[in-house]
Amino acid sequence: MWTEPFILRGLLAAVIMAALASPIGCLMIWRRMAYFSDSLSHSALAGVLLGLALGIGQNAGVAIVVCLTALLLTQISDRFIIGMDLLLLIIGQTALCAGIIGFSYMPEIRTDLTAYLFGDVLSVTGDDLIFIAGAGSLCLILLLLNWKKMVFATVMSDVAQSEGVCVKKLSAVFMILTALFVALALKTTGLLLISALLVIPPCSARFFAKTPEQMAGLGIIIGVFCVIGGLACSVFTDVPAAPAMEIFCAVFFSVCCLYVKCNKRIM
Amino acid sequence: MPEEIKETLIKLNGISVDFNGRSALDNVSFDIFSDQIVTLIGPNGAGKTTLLKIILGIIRPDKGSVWKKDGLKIGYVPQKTNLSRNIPLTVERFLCLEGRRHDRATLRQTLEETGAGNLLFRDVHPLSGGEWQRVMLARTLLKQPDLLVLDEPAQGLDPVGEEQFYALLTRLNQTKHCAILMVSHDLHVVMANTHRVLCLNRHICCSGTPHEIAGSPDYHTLFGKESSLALYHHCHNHTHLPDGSVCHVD
Repeated sequence: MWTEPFILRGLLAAVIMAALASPIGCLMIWRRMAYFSDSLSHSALAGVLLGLALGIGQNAGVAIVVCLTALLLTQISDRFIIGMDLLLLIIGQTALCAGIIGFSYMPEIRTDLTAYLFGDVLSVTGDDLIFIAGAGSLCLILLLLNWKKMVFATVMSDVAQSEGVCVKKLSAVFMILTALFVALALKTTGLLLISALLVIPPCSARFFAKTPEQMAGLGIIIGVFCVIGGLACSVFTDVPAAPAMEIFCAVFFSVCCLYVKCNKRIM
Repeated sequence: MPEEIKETLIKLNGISVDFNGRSALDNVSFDIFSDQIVTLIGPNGAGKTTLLKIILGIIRPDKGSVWKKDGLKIGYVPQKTNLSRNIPLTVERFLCLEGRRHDRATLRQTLEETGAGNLLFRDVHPLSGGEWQRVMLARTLLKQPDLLVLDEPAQGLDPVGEEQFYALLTRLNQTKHCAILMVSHDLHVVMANTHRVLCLNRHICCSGTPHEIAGSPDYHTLFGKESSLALYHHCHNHTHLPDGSVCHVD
């Protein structure tokens, strides 16, 4: 059964996503921006609509809209009287509602709404896979080129800036990175569950990591393991794949919590 | 300070900054020379941290210019770091943050110079205030700076730790020949360990050796006459209104 092409395609898509989720998720957690991916992914539904309306395909539409939303968010000054966390929530919920209303006007795809919200990893096509691999490679390049500077700027923004690191540019790179990730993960996990896969595996890794790189690396291993586990569950018991992956991550995290508590390691 | 090796490291010329239409710094000019310890004092909101950030290139001034010696290396120890506990970090990894690799012997030796030799493999989160300051200082020393910039380095240290930390700075100034610019509220220490004091309240109220400053009426206007320094009688050329703006006595 595992050799069925649609399962292999789904598996590959899920593994690429899980491998990228950990380093991006780590940066997001360290920058205290866990809500950020939520808002961005909520705007993805509008991207699907745009892609269909323009006839450029939904993946391209999602990538464009999410990148534009991300760049809009970089323009919000942290001196604005309404806090960033609140603005993210307002923008995210509004984008989701706009997307759902837009969908109701398109009867031919209306039934697919659940797939966009909660993912449909087993329906990943060859074209989707090419898009996922392409966007994934771009994410990987951006991460490798900027990782050290990003960690530096996350730990001590002012000091990094005084030593010639352009913090503004790094913020923009981070936004683009998250936007690309949302676009490539949409098919696999659905827009409502993207944040869970970004955040939970790195949190499990935090218990055992001593350096930022260990946390990101361990997060990749945990993420890939949970995604494969979730997909296997889905294949054999017919439960939806993305929620099964999420539950796997959450169970793993709980086990880590218990392990740490039993070993009396105070974090 | 030996006169013969005095060289200008930084020249500030007429620096002014506004934040939201409110003047934060007004026409500030001064020079920093090699080997000198300069201390910036002034009340809260006087623009001390802003001035440091202008020197470091983090904030761009609205008016005025900053000249730096070619190839000047500045090490910055910020006031406080708001480090998320979610980021795992050892002292060793912290020291290599800027991206350059150093071997462990160099790292340990540098930590020993700041009195933190035993901390190399420790997690940074449980470090005490004093340990953290020493580790941050060690990180800046790795790039052999010509100028150290410190923002209230003794904040949160107990009196003994504070005295030790200032002694360490004096020692580094003498052995490494690096100039030091720091913000400090510890007036008694400032007076003992500093070559030059700048008294800032959005503009430079007065500057000079600690001895000269102690006699300045502007200093007493800012810090009160009970500050444990001898009094001299001088002619005020200006006083401060409650909001800190200058009122010239004509």
